[in-house]
Amino acid sequence: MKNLFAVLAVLLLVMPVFAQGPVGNAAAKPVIQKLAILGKGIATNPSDLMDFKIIKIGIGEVKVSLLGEETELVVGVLYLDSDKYKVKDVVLGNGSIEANLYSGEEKVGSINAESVEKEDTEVWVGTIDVGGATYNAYVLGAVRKARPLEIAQKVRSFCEENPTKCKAVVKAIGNRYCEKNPTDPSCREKVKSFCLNHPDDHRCKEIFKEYCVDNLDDARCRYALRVYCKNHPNEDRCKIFLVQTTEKYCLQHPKSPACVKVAKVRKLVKEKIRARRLGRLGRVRSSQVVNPPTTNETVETGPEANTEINTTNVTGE
Amino acid sequence: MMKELLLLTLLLSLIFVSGCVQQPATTGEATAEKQAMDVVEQEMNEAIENMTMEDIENAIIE
Repeated sequence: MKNLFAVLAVLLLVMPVFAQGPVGNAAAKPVIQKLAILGKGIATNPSDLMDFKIIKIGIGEVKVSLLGEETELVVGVLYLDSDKYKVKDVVLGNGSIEANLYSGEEKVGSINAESVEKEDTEVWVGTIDVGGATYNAYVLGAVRKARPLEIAQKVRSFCEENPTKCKAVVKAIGNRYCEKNPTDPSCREKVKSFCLNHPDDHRCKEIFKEYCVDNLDDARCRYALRVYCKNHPNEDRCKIFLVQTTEKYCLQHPKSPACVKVAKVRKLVKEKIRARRLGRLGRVRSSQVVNPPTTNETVETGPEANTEINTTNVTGE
Repeated sequence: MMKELLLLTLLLSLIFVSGCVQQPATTGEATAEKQAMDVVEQEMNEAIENMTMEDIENAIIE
């Protein structure tokens, strides 16, 4: 009988530990991969001047770890006054967003918006269909700077895919082995660590901006380039930024003053944009990404596709 | 007496253990989605808190 009590006592102590499940997974926090849009604005009903709502919107790509399985989801939230909607089925394009709105599990509407740069401010213009009404929506993009850890992580992944463009930052860590073996995974970790500790180092910033040119569907990247391009409007990546972020809006409103300016720039960087898209597509294919890309970009092909990208500033050469 | 004690201990351990077991979510997908939306909402709230045109302007100029 005493033995039975002893076993029960041990069970009482041990069972809760097993009942908790794997400790590591429970603690894993969701990680933001991209922030497509964060902002605030107004939705107006064109048929009723007094029917307007305050909009708050956030859409992002988040990596979630659940019971050891990693999932990447593109989701968001939308507030119309105090009514909250889930944003799902998101399609991100070059300066465009399409998504459905859900209340609970029920689909109740949709949102469709294009971005345009006005006076150094990102404005999302579009429509929101909800509750049987269609609202015209104007959202001002909020400022969201990339944090040091985010910069370090992006630099690390960029250097993994583009080791030749990372010579300058590899040199910065002052490790001879890494200078000779930049593709060594331990060296990429050293680069990450360097950029985490020196987020304002010009080499880290340069690589981050270079990463950003190919990731303009991320608000942190758009902000970084918007600030940089204010003083460097003639750089190729700034022209690409301008063209890409207003692509959809300008296709529909080619005669608007903002788009007339963009049209001139577009001619200059069209081939470079094409080459970058092809390069990125090649990298996605080679890394055999399980999740399909969340963008609806089309890749044009042509003989000029192999055009070299001017990255002199990036490599520091 | 011992039998009763044993039964009581068994009953208590059952209650104790059942309280510790985390009930699995209705679907893992729903939980993941909720977690993702919560993170995005938090980012949204931080970013738009006290957002004014002046803030945007200052951030660009700095």
